Amino acid sequence: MNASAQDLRPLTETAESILGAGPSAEGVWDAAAWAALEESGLTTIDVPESLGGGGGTLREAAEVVRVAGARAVRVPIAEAALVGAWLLGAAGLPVPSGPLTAALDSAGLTADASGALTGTVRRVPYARIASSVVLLADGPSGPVVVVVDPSTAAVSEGTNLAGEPRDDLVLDGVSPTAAAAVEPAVAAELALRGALSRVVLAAGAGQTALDLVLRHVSEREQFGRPIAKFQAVQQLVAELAGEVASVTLSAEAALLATASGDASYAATSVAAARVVSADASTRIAAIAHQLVAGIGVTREHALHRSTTRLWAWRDEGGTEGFWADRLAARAVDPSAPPLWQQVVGI
Amino acid sequence: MDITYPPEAEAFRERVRAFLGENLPAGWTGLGALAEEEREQFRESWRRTLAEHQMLAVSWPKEYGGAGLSLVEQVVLAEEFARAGAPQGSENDGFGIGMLGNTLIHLGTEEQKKHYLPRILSGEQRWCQGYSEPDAGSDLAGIRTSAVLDGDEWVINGQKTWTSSGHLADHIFVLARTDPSAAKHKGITFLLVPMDQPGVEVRPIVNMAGYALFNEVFFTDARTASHEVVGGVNDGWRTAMALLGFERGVGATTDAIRFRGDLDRLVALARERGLTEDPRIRERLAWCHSRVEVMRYRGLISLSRLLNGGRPGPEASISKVIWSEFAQAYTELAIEILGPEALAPTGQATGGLLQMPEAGTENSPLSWVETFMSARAGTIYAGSSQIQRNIIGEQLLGLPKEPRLDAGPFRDLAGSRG
Repeated sequence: MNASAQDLRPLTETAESILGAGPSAEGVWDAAAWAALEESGLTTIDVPESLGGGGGTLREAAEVVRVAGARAVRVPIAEAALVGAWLLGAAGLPVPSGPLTAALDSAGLTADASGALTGTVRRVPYARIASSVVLLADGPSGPVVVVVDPSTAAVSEGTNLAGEPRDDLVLDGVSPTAAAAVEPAVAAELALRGALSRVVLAAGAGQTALDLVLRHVSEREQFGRPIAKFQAVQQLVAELAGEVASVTLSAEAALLATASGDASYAATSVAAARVVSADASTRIAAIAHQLVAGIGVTREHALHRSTTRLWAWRDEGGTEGFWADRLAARAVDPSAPPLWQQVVGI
Repeated sequence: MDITYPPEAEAFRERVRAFLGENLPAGWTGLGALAEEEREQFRESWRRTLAEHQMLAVSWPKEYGGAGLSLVEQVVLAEEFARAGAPQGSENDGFGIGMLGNTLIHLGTEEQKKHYLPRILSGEQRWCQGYSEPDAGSDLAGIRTSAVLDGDEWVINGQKTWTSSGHLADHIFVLARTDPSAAKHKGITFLLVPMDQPGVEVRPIVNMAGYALFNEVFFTDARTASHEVVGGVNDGWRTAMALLGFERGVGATTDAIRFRGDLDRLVALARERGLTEDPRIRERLAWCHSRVEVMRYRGLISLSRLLNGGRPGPEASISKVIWSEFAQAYTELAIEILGPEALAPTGQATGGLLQMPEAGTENSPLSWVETFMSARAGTIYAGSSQIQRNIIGEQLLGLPKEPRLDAGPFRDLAGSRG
């Protein structure tokens, strides 16, 4: 993992310099951050060059998403880079310019023979500000990737507990701005992509929570010493660091598996990563708040930006229970490789 | 231990129930069922009703305008009010009546009792608590707000924080350092300070759920008269701790009642979502039920101690750890039950909460998400879980104490910065 971390450093630094300021104080989204990301080609890193992308790797695309998760930036980069751009690539469609988002799950959306779209798509991140939304519709002869201009649909605004837009899109005979049929397997892969995007975001947010905690416990003095000197505090910090490491490693493993092209390997790794990261997210947020204490639950402190996101992201793209069921079903499936082999031998 | 209440307490319980039945609006389920703007209005008129029926300052002796109830009667009354979802006063009454009033009755001068108690009772004065500071949280005795005598007035400088209901108060009781050359617990004085003066500024703190329940209070050459001291100059730590004993007070048995009410709401939520057959949800609901039963037994143990002449002691730390950690667990379960509904929550908001939403709150996804977020603070405020476990370890189990690095004169301590 060290070698790849080395290779990523210039990209990490570019993303950090673009997103360094973190979220703006007010407003629903960070338009300037999006513009800078798009201009630098960071929203389409692993889209083939023939479709106007950067021709890079999934791991590189994910690195920008991880940094965005760490900086709590209000842009749909995870949806654009890991879900939307990938769907467009799978359909051979070019990536449109302007704020791009995608639904992690558009079950129930149908396309009729003329291509018109009907259905309700729930909790689409940043739909209200996007110029294009990438969706997967059920067409007369299989799944169809479609691009929709949200102004042609009814947008019902909602917000997650981190204050990020999660808007319902109601489509009633809407014509897409682009459409192309894809293989049936794309539907299953979409679920994995959505889950993977949340694991990568959580890895970033978890690291930021750990960084904030380390700073706080070293600087905060009570009873005549920094609280980091107390064993009870040290023990919690160590547990926190362990949880952050498990999210980070499960994200790396899921990215490797997804990039391998082995669908079964990817399905197991992403489901496992999703369960690990959901569990860890709750623990990370709980420990971080306990250690940063009173000031950490206020609006003025940065911690809530990471913890509310960890809470919000932990159940997006399928709840922890959903992915645990999936994982369990694979483990007991008589036609799948034996469990031990699934765990260690892939 | 006998866990039945004496017959006269049960007779009193019937009287309280009759009072609540006659005086609460028909169909009352709690403040949570009212629109936010109606809640304050109800609290005020309800407070007047309570005062008329001697049900307001229930712990005070009759000679000071209280109800002069025995401890067991106070407990029974608190239980019945909790069960009915009826507030026991206005937001500041916990500080004015419950904490300061009782402290004055035990440690105040006759002049202080005569001056302050009737004003607290009438609602003319609304009190808040000036204890914590930015650098003195768990380590409360590390306070730096200073008070210096100037003629017949104290001049106060410094900052308090986490002041609940401070924005509604016009008076504050303040722990101030009056002798920095003394050891840190020794040079502290408990002062009564009016807030409507230029040297006192209140600034709200907004929490991550978006509510301003706490405040910062800044003192810049604020003044109070030299006699506004409770318990003696430089002897304020003793007063401060006595007051915290009243904070724990007789509430031990009501936690279980209130959490039972909110757990019932959670079971109803699981039922509405068709999840009561899910073994994972069932197991966790059963765990929650057991914890609330543990709380109930803890409450009865505390009550039994009180009735046998004991004061709330280090055992209160066990109850604090149990309820605050339970609050996090059952709200995490609520989020799991809601599943995708918790992701962009809708429905009635709580209007802000500390321990749990007001009784009668709608079973909405948003109310649960806000309760979940607020539960994070429960293991932090009023003594963090780490501090409570220290107390349990050192005072109940007799484990060795952590070596102190903060002995000697306060002004010489590292980090005391004056």
